[in-house]
Amino acid sequence: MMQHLKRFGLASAYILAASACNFDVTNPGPTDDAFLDNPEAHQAVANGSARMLFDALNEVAYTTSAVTRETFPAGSTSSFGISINQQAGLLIYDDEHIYDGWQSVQQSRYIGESGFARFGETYEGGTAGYKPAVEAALYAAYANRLIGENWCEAAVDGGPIVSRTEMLQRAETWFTTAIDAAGSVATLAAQKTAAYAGRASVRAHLGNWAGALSDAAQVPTGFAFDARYEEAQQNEFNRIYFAGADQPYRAVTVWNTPYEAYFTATDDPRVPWTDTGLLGDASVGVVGARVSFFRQLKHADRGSDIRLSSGYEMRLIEAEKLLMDGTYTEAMNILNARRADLGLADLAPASLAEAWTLFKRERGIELWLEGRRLGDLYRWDANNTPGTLDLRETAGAAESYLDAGQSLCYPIPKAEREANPNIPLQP
Amino acid sequence: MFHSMSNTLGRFARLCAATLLAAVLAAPAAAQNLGTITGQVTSTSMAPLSEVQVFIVGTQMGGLTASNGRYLIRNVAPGTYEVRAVRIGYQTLTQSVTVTAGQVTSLNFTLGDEALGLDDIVVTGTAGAARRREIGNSIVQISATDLAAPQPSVDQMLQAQSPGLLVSAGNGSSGSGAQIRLRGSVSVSQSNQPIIYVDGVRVRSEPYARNISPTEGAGRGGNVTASPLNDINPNDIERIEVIKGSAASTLYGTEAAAGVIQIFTKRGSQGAPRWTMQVDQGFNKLLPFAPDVDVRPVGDASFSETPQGEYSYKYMNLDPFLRNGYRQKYSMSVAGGAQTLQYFLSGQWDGNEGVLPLDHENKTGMRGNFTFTPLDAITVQINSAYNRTEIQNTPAGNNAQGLTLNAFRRERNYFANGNPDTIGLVLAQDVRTRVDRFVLGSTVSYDPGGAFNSRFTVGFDQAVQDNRQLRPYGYRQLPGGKLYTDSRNYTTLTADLVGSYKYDMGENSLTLSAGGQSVTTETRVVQAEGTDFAGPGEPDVDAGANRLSWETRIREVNAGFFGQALYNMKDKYFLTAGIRVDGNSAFGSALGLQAYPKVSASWVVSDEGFWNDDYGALKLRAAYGQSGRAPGTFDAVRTWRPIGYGGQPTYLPENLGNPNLGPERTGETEVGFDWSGFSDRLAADFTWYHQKTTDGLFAVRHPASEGFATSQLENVGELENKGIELNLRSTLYDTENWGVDLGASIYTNHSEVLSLGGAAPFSGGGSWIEEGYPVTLIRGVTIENPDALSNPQYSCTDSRVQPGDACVNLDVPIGPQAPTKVFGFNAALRMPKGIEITARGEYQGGHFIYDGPSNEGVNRNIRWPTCAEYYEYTDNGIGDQAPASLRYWCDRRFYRRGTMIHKADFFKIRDVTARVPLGDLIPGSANSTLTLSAQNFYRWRNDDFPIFDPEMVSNGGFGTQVPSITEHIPPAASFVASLRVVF
Repeated sequence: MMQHLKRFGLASAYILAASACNFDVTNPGPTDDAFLDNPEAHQAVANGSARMLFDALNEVAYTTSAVTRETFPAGSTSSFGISINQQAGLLIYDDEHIYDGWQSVQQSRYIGESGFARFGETYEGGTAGYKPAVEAALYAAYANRLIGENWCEAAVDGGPIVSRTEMLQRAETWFTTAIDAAGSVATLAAQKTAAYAGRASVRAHLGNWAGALSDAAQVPTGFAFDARYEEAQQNEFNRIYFAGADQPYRAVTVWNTPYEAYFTATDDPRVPWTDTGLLGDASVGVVGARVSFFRQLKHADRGSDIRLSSGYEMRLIEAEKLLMDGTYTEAMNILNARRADLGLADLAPASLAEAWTLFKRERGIELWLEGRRLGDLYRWDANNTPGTLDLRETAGAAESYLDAGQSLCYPIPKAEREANPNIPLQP
Repeated sequence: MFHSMSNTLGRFARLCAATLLAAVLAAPAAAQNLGTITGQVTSTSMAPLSEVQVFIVGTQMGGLTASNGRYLIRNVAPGTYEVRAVRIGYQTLTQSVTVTAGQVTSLNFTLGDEALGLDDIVVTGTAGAARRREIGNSIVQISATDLAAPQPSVDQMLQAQSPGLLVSAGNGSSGSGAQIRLRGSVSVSQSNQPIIYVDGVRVRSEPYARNISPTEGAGRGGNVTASPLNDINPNDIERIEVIKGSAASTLYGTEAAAGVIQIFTKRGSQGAPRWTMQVDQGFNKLLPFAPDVDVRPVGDASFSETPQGEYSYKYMNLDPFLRNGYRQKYSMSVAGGAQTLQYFLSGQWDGNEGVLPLDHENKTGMRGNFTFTPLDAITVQINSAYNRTEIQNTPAGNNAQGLTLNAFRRERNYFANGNPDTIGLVLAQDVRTRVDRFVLGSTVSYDPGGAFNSRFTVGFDQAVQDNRQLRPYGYRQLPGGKLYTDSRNYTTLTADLVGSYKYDMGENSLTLSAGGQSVTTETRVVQAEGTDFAGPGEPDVDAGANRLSWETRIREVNAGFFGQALYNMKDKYFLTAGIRVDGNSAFGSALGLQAYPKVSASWVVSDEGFWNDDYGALKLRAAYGQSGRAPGTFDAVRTWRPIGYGGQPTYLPENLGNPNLGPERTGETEVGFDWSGFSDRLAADFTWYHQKTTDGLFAVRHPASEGFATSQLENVGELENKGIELNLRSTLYDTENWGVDLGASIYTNHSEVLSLGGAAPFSGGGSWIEEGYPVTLIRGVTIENPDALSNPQYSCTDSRVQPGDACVNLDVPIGPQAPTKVFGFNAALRMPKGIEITARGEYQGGHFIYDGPSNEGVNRNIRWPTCAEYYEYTDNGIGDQAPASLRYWCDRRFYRRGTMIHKADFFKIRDVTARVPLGDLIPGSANSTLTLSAQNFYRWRNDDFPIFDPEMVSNGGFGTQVPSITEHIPPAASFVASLRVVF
């Protein structure tokens, strides 16, 4: 019998030795954090910051286009839709499509900011002239800009409330970091120009117009810096295109927006749309019926890029400063130069107030469906800027179907509040 | 070397083939000098008993009785033998018989009922094997013989069979698997599906992957999750053992907290080949699942494209697409063997049409089980099975390109057109899934008949899943077309060694057991898709102008060892203590091996001298044990996800990591008794259980503003389940020709999240995990003034809102999402000529379910059949006279997410079956049986639950933690006639 037991014991030992004591397995796929210290991985980290920025902009541009009436909601609410509250122009902290953009933009910010720090520590040449570092700083800056332009207030790294102004200041700092890191390296000139353009826009929001003009002057009129979207898979599609592509969604329309009539009258190629002869994909709550489905054509396919900065935007900054100074004729000259290039009639306001009205419309046209309108409306509202908006984009107007309390910024979403003990549960 | 090995294998194969052939054919040749034993086995009421194992003690000679109770043991050498008859639920009887050469010796058995089966052998949850009397925990044994209805799947085989064992039917699409829960949910982040063994070999239990592209989160496909359990041919199963919690599953270690199901397939027995053929024919029928009303508005132009009369709301406009799905199944098996080798061989083909127009499920399978006894002390059991499952699905679920969603939403659908010809354009999508499953297991048992015995099992389970779906060029909702293909290879490798040594100490004994077990799982996935084809045709992925691909490879190792001591005092008192020590590749680097203890006791009170036999038989039992659930493969490590974007390599944050991450640990206490009395005409077993999960793996939320992952598994939570299980079985009337059996069961489950470890309440998939509330909690919107003729006033009782805060959060706690009370009923009527009619029913209640389609339908201003009463007001211009409850349910102005939550109480008749023995009516047969069965054909719902079915699951299928209703169809009823013939 002892022999049996010995044999059994021996077999048990083999089993244990063969399996029970070795739990080390190597699975491919996810990458250990430490591996990212390798300089060969740095560019991919910077690309990660860009990717999440593009995700965030995709969400923000889509939702805010409806809230600001760059587009009009055409039915769908969930998935690729516009929620009931957002149809009325309200951004509520626990509503659909409030959290996704917040999460993406925070990831972009974190990847860029932490990546820049990591590169400084692990790349022997430091960040100066180092492309991954320049781009990490640049995308972190745009992420901070996206928050600063669109959120009422924010939080950073799980901390307490940070004001919108502070987020814009963070953006300014990171744009400066990118400019400094790019230095005079010729191959980083485009990134450096993009940083100047971004910083100009942020400084305009912060009221630092001298700084804004200085930066804008660094940006040629033909310059453009885009967020990239791809044909490859759905979460990389241009959301504004896809949600209104009739394949299968008809969630937004140009019907009953200021751009509907304007394009009909002018054929301005900056705001193209087409009448599909169809109706939107469901009844629109604020209208109580289904509405005409006029498909926007600016984002013409799933891979259409969305502009982050451009020389034309810089010229608008220069024009806005001229309006602030009361020199509206000079301001209109800038706008008309662009319009002339497009074969459009000149703008000829009779007064400064009218010039502001035309400027606000023109800025809306130039930056249409780029996720910038909400920030502009907030800024002009906060500064009591002269000029009026079209009734179809005016809060409380019957024509706009917008609630009188239309939101001009995103609240911090519910999920952030529930997980972050440093901010209150409710706005 | 290869040549040499090839030759060796060839010789081995030829030897096996020759041995098998000899076993099948040679046995009758020697019959002239041998004798035969034959007879009939009956119950005490003289009713014939089928499927009784009758064998010569100490040999492999024997076989099963036929439906007329007859058995036959051929080729018995002259001499005197002990012959034993064994069947679960009956007393084992051994009789002596003398066999004479060339003669047929008659030996009949009359088996008395033994409701408790105290000497039945149980394998699952024990070290080696044990008699029921020795076990301190409850264990369920389901004998295939006792199931009257033809079983279409293993899922249904388990349905309503035992208190504490809940099998939800899922959706009505072909291939849809069922969710199984044993005593509720013990985890909020890990799987609560029990682990599964087949003949001692661990096999895959988690759902197969849905056939949808990773790029389409909304599920452009059938949104069906198939169950690996259903790859097994129910006709191959001899019995199933189920242990429901950690008190019994300790020896399975880290992955067994949700319970263990072990399936035992049939084996051969010595004797002439016994052929069995079964043919099933029937159909599936979808029952109405919505109010039978017509809420189409008069004169609404948007409805003009709907052909009047073609739709009905009771089927939610699906009428033009539904059919009665034809079911057919053909299976055949042969069992027999010689003294040293017995075999069981089987094959099946199963063709099952669904009720949706493209739904189809075909199954082909074969099995070979062999028992080889080369030496008296050694038995080698080899079990092998191959199955192919082919599923074709109609695009369905919450899917803008699905049939069901677009039919439910009629003119407000994604075609903006309710015409069935238009909606039917989605049927151009081709969605197919194929699973090739191969399970091979070998167990070598060494039992020299002394104090020591041991058993070694190795097993291999491979499932190869092939998903493919095509939206052809010109597809209405994706004109460029799209092809998605997904190849998955799941393997599980088991090694299991156990040995026992029994010290006899007079009338007492001590059995010491020890063993080791290793389970290695590996998953390999390659997915690819191509979109935008050049033109019509039958494309491959390469044909797409845009192509994407993905790969996943995951290997996990769980291994450990255990020791157990069983002290037997006078065969009445039993005390068992054991420990399992485990390691797992998913544990954090700072975590070592984990130990799970257990202790149990049983006392056969009825064997005491003071016990009056009139009181029947009674066993008291108590058990405590622990087991666990490991975290996911990468949960312990801080990782980034490398992906491409626009041709650029990219890293994105994936997992925060936690080096101290370990398994969650569930400790369970259960106390109960098994009793039978009145000459075994009444039997009851009762169990009180209490499970407590500590170090619960909760996905602790991190604020998005941290910029990394927004949750991380941490061992912080505590939750509990407690309740009772009571099972009653009675024989009210029992004579040779007539008999009536009745049974009932009660199961309760009350769960609670005891602690979140300081983490904030969190949600996932519509479920909330919140301290002081059930696991899991459903939150939603309720109103304060249902009867008032005014707009709804929402409730706001959120405990997290501080005094003075505005009531912004309207999601109030509503109730549990899992049933808290379940009642089962069964009845059997036995009639002359062995005709038997049985019925089983089940009530589940106390829980709530979210109805997504109604919520989204009303939100989209779709005329919804549950709102007929409200439309009476609004269509007549008196909407302001409608009570707040109707406005809240039916007016989109008051829409909030989470409005449509129903009380999910229901009662279903699981089956009514008539079994008619035909004897040898069919020429050439030994006996045959005709069975007629209707399954899941009656459903009662709570009045507050007006539409759909409370057993439905969401797009995620049965792998999701809790059910919720999405744009699917309910499970269909089925009607089957089955003919079983034994030759």
